[in-house]
Amino acid sequence: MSIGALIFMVTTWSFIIWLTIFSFSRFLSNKKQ
Amino acid sequence: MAEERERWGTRLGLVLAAAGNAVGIGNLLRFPSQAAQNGGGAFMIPYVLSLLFFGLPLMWVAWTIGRFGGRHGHTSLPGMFDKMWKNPAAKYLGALGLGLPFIFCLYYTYIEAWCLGYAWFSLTGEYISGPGQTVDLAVFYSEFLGEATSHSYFPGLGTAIVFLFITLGLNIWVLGRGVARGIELLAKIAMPLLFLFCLILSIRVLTLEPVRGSAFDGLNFLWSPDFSALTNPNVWMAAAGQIFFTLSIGFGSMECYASYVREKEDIALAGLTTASTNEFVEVIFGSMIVIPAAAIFFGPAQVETVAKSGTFAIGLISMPEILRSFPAVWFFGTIWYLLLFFAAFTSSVAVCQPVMAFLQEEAKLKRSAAAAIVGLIWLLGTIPVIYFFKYGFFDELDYWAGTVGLVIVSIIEAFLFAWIFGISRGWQELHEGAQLKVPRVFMFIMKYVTPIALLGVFFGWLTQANLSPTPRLIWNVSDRASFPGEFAKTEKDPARLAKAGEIQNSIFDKVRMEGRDLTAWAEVDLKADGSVNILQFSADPHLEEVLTADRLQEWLHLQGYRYELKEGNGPSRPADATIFINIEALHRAPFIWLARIIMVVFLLVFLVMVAAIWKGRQTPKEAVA
Repeated sequence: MSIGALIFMVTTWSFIIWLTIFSFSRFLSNKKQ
Repeated sequence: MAEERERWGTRLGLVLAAAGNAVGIGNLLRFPSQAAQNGGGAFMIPYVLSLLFFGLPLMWVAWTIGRFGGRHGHTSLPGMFDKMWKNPAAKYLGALGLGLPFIFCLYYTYIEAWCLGYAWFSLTGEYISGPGQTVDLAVFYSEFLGEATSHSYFPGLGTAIVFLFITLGLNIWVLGRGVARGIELLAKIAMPLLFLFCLILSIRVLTLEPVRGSAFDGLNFLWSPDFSALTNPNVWMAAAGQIFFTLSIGFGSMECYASYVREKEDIALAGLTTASTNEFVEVIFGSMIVIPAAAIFFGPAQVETVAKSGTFAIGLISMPEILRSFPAVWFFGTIWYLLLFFAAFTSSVAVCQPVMAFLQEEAKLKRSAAAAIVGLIWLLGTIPVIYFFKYGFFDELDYWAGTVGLVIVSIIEAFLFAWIFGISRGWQELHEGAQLKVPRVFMFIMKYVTPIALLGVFFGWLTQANLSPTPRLIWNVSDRASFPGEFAKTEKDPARLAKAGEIQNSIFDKVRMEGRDLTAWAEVDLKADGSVNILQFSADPHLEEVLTADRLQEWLHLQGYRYELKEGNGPSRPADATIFINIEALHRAPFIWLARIIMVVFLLVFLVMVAAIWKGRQTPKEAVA
């Protein structure tokens, strides 16, 4: 894989994984309704 | 008598159902195809910007409208819009948000049925070539959908109809069980399975031995940034369009789901969680399966051709080709198509739920009666989709209801929220009970950027409208299964292909003039040296005025039509074959107009229902006034 492709892939995946973990964990731990 | 208002059973169930609503076939097939065709890694720049400036704001708008409507006893857009805007027109605008998504369901269920069918074909090895039986996957797919002139693998549409009935039955069963016991239960089963299947397939693809290329060649192709693509407005349109489709915006289904939450639910976080879960499936799994598998099987040079072949060709022609080369196709093929089926199933029940909710909450029908009515109309509406598929009936519904129509509903919603309901009031409503504080810049985005971006997408898609339908030519080799090689159109010279196109246009002109389908039949001798001889020819007398045996011979020759045999892993070589072909020149116009009429009738029915229900609510004094 080229460096450019690797950078784009890893950056995008990291952002999406962080967003998913952040939102999912906060949503499920939020008991206030 | 009206039943008690429905609610989600658990918060996990809510978020899984909402994610199931958003995650669809497009996540795994459309996304990689769009990314590969629009700049690879560079596509992710407009894609992520579209998510931030367009997708997420619309997701929050949908959740806010939904919970607001639910608090006032409305679970579908007519009632929600009516509460947001004290104008008699509001409820009718909402009716569009019921009718258009329901039309979408009529053909989307058919796609869902194909996935179920292919899961079965994988399990039973139906598309695997055996001794004396070659399976040409393009013909297999065309025959399954009834758009081929041959019957080598399927005698008719019966198989597709059986899978459609099963799919429709499952949808109605889930909808009939209600929100908590039906939709939520389905999401709790289907979504974990979907993740598991994605994970198994991703690991399998990434660990496959390289054949013509490696999985990393595929990832490289998909993610290599072509920055010059960013100057092309079509790439930005494609990114915005992909975000629009993937988040299931404009269906009224997210609003409906949000209407069942409790009053103090954190909808800002729920909306973000829905979008991020969808993006996880799309960007991570969507890039790890199809394109890397295509690079292994077809080689890096062919990946672009696969990516450009379109969503259905990738899913139902290229992927079975790849899967049947896997060891244990019965396992990996089955889970691949079940994965697509679950993705579609959780979306179709979501898109249809607003109609169920409308009949229950507004028309005061019992859930079982609503399910029976929805099921019957769904079934009747799907029949022309199946039988007139080859005439482009499906595509017509997809363009007007499933593409342009959904943007119209979203535009109405975005303007209603930001400019009529009021952005300050909407912002306050979004944050009611929310722990997550959305950055205030999104107020500006929701008010100005999102509506303008939506208008851009709308006009971009509207320019693709084809108002006067052209005829279509379909033709196949009869008894395809008995030929072990491949039939290919090998000509690349544009001048020769243009001449072949002229012959085809003369056939189309004749079809238009006669106003009906025209057919022909021929026995053709294909020689390894590239020569084509017509041994027997018979055609409709009107067609014969423009398509004689000599013209057919010239037409096939101009396309470089030939038969090729392959031995072992070596290259293909031309070979002799005597074949029978059936040609159908289809007069599509009446069916395209029928599709348009049916769409208008559907919308009118919903408008009339809304008018009648609201009229029935007026007090006698209001009615007189």
